[in-house]
Amino acid sequence: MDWKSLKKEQKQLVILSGLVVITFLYVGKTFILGPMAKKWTEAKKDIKELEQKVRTAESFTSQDKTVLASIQRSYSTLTDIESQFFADENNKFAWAAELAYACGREVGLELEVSDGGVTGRSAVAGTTSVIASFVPYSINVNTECSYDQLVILLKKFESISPYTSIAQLSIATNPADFAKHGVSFKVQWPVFQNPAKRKKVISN
Amino acid sequence: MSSYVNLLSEDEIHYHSAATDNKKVKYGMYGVGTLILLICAISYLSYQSSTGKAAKLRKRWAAVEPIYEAAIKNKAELKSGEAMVAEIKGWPQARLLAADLLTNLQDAIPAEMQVTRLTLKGTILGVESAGRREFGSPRKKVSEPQRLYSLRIEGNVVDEFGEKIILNFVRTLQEDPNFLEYFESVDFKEALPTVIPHYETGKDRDAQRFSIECQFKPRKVKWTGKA
Repeated sequence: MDWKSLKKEQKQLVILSGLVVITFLYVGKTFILGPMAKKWTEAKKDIKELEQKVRTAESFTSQDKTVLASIQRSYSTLTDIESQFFADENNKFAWAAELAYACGREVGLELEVSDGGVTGRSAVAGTTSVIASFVPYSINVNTECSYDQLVILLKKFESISPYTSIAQLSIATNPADFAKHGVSFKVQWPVFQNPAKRKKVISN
Repeated sequence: MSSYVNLLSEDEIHYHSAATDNKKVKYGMYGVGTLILLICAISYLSYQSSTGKAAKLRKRWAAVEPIYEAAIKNKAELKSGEAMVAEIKGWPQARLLAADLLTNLQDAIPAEMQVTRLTLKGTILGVESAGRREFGSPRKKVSEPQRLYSLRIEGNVVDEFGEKIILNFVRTLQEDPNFLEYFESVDFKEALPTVIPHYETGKDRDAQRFSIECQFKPRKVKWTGKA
């Protein structure tokens, strides 16, 4: 097809067709293809992102039953330890004092017992978090006894449970009686630092 | 032998050529139009497929997301629960058996030495550690609970070689296998000359007053599986 050999009408038809195509393309791009392309790009991006998210989520949630069972196991371990070895949450001092007097009686010593309360933990400055869920509850014990009696008494306390510990101890000689020392010590048991956390653990 | 000669006039030739060109233009236009339509159709179908897939995925994500969030919470709760178990199981490991320590001390204290005061102090402190790294974030500094104990022994030695006896006792605390598991450091603080009365006669005697500070090895309140 030779352009020169085309008639005037044919040339006009070709030019008109070209103009129609260009107009069509322009209008199409601006009002149809443009927004479509934008949505299309967004859709493609969404597909990539969502596929990844859904895959991760589905693989994560597939382990949920195991996770829930493990939570249950952890809480049941904590509940067991709490019920066996912790100071009674409702009346810590009465619970601890009774144990202390029983230890004293077994060794033949009269003990003076006072409530030491729950001691908070201090975090090091500059740290972002403290991993500590338990704090010590303590009682103060005062007595007068020989060194050997003290060793037996401490053994009695330590055998109450593996969670019972001696935190402070002071032995001072008595100039009036070298066989008897003035003794004071602190006995501790763990308790939950956060009562709400305890409630959650126990209720599970 | 006969021959045919197709004789066409100039006009006829021109007319024939023009008709062919018309057809070419017409088919050319159809071709371009069809091609454009084809491209449009393919693009539209592809667009529909993508937006449809994205909509389906959004719907799926909307259904999965709450379960996923609950699963994340559960995972965090499990971590916290396991940390609590590790911590509480660490309590028996971290405790100091004071009765055993006193027995060992009783065996180690020389006959010439008179202990006047023995003070054991224990506390639970958050001690800084590197902590865990989570999801590619920088490592957080955390403080983990540790039991820290210190022991102060004060007393007198009635002997002309008092200082030597004290130093021997310090060495025992530092090196004896009975104390190796306990102490991180044993410091001989002071030895001052003093006078003490004899417990039977009441007569004054020259003596050395001393004090020794022992720092215990920190005990992590975290189960290590050895208990």
